[in-house]
Amino acid sequence: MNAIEERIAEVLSAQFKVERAAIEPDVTFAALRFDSLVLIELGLILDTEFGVEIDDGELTNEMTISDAAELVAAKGASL
Amino acid sequence: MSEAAGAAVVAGLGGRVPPTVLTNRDLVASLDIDEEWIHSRTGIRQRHVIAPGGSTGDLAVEAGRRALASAGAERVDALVLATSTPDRLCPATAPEVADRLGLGAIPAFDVAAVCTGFIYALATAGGLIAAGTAGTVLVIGADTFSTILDPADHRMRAVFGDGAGAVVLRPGRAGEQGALLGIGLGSDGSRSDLLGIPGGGSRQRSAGLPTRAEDVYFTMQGRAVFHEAVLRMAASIRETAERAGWPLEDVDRFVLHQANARILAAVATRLGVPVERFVRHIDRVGNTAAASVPLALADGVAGGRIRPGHRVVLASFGGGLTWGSVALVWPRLDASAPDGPAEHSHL
Repeated sequence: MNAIEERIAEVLSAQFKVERAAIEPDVTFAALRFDSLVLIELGLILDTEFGVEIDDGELTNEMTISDAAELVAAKGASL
Repeated sequence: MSEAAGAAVVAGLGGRVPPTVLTNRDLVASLDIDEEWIHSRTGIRQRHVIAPGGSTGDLAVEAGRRALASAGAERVDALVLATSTPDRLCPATAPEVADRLGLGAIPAFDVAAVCTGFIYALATAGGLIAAGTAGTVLVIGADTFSTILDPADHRMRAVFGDGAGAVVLRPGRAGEQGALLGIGLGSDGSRSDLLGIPGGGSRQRSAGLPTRAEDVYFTMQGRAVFHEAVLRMAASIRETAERAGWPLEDVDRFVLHQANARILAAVATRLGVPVERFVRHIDRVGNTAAASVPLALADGVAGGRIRPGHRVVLASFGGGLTWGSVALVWPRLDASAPDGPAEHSHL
């Protein structure tokens, strides 16, 4: 995992009680079985964590942890 | 603001929910969702709804009566009612509420800012006091969203409940407990489509179009509203606390619009403050729109969660879009629980 993926994994584990072992770069959010509000909650946390703006709907169930990390990186994430 | 500067001061508080309770179990008996689905997504276990023939004005009268009793006041100089479910399209509901409370020929008007209505009404009443137009003002937030929901829309019926809450404001000094400090308001009309009732207004009537069934009910784009609510309330709270000169970690209680328990948690996370400082009333009443902040205050004071001397920030977000917040040091006053018995109730 790269540094951004690691940070996302930390947030998922700490805030959303996902088992750390279940989080791999190629795992989709759908596979983590979140309800519809979690992606909004996650976006609101990641935008603070990385200092970027993530709009409602930019994170989708089909995305992998790696896709989310790429989205955050493309917005100029600061680590 | 210097401590000697003039300010509007909270002098009384009251709340009222109608006696009829709809639990999650009651709802799911007729719907295709389960109880846990409702609770996990909203934090709501039950809501109160008015009986057939009841109205927003009925609840406003009872909440107003309780706030006046809490303030030890029989008269006020003005009444401001926040609602987006008035008893009728026009005239405003406030004059009739004032009359039913025996308040005489005082100025009385409605403020429409949907779920932010109570904060807008507080700011408006504070302005009446600051300008010398009124001494004491009764400020009521009251809504009956059960009357504007599609009966077939189970998710919306799960979210909203009916109620009313009120405060009495009097003129005083910024250094006093109860003084409204650092009020902040905002709006974004470019997102007016996110929540509201599309039909029934001048645009539909002037077009001469028949009213479509789906246009008479309240609609909401839940995900987008959730996102905006968290961003706007968190930013508004930061600004208001700063205007009051309070670091966020020194705020004892956050009393937010009770729209969704997960919105409260997300705002707490974003502000970096413990969610335990957020007063939570939504589990027992749902989202009561303009009533939700004063109802949460009344419940918090009656239950001892909010105590004299606490630094409190109130914040709300609603259709419009609108948002706002206000800071105050909680004053010493009595308030009964909003679900307690009514003395003169016709509800």
